[in-house]
Amino acid sequence: MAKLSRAEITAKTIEIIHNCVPELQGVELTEASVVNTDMSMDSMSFIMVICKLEAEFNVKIPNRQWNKLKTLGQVVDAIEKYQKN
Amino acid sequence: MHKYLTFRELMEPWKDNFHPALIYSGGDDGHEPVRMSYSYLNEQILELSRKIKDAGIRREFMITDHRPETVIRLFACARAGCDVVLTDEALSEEMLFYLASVCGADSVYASDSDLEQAVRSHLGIPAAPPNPDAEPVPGAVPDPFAKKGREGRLIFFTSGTTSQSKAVVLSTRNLCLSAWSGQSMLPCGEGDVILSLLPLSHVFGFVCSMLWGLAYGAAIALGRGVRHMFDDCKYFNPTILPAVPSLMEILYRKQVLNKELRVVLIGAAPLSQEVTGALKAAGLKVYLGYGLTETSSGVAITQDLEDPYALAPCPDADIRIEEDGEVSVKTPCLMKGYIDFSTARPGVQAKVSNPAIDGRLYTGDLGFLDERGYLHLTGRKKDMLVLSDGTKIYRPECEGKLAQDLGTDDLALILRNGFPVLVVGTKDRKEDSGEIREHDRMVLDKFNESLARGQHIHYILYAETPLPRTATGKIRRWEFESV
Repeated sequence: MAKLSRAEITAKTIEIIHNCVPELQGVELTEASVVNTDMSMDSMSFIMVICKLEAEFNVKIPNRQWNKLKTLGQVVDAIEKYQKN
Repeated sequence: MHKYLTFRELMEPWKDNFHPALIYSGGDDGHEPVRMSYSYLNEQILELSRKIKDAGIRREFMITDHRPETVIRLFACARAGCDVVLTDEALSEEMLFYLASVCGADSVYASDSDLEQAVRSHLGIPAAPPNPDAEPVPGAVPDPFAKKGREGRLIFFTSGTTSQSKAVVLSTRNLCLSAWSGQSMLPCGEGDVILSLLPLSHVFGFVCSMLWGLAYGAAIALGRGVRHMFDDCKYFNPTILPAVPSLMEILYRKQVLNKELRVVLIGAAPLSQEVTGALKAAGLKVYLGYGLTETSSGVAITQDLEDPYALAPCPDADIRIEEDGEVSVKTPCLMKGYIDFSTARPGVQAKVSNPAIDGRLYTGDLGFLDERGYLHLTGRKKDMLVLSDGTKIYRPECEGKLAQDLGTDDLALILRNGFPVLVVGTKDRKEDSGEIREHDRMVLDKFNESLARGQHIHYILYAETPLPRTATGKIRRWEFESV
């Protein structure tokens, strides 16, 4: 899989979040949006989103990094960092 | 059905048992699960326990996961007389460093070698086991529960929602008796596969998805981690699944339960009626357990499948309802006590405490016993605010009504100098204005008309952010109650 651009990753990530978290459908998400908190999505939903993202982008984000990902931008940073060619 | 009192007794039958004890991942490439027999597990534990004993390790800080090596080490420590402080890899490094630094550990274990090394470095503990003849490691503290020849104790941190976490000391006797209690109410045995998805650092996870099964001959399927949470059922084909409500709900909604599953055991909170009904309609037996970390997990389990919230007391659990409706319990599974690690100093014992009175623990839960003697839970005592005039307000009721009238559930009723005060957060408030505050005041005045004078809510405090919450959505009151 060729490396995707940041814009492509961001767009796909937003799509996956909207699909996995019904409460966020219709909510505009930007890189500054805080996603990994109880206010935005519960811990189970966040796990599901990360699993979907890993499968979509063929990456494996170390488990210990998950809790450090707070904003959409940080999630995209992690995908870019661990993206394989 | 044998009532074991130590891990040694519990493991005695294992040496001649070649049925599977642990079932775990065969690898990431889709390999079939690997099975470890009771006999082999026994050998591994005993061999490691001898090494731990010879090394003189007294207290191990363990970052748990579901690898077989972790399970072996946990039992080996206890058999060697080494206490185990149980934490989870999901905790932040800062929290792990803090807990490791205060708990007086002279050994660290994590299957993630980088993480283990980081914690060791933080503590100044070398990788090699300590020399038992050497001077005590800085930070190690005398054992407040020392007793010669005993098995190691397991130390769990509670997951309080209305107060900060405490370190609960449970003996292997406490835990074995809890497993027996569970077996008395909900038998498992050879041929059963219990899927262990819950953290082993929580007493519900350790007792109900590990010890109970191992004590009575079931196989324990070790979950492959969060990435496989949605396909572990299909991979391991469990017959029994202990779970918390949030996990059960998402597994049900994702339709990932296997057809061999016959029993679901829910703990920590009640499962929704909708999901309970759906699971029962699918042919599953749904049991709800009630217990605390302090009681080594369950003291009551539902038995009447038609009445999913009526909890039958476990054998040996003496449950009583106090005058104010509080549930109290006397049980041989009651903890040895709390350790307040923050008070530990080199050479000085950490403060220990046990709130039980005459062996009876006052749980802080409210409930009643029906005509069968079954327990029904109705709320938390800490949800009752006791006012300066001695009267009480039941918080959930007041907060529920105010949430409806104010159009936000981002609020909490707290006490200030003995008087009730309402705190409102910004979750549902796009803006803050004089008009909104004036409206709030009118709503509050109207609400107060329904209360006795002494119970009037005095004023509203406006937070500048949404109110802090736990992972399950409960407001972290303790973070602002004392401010």
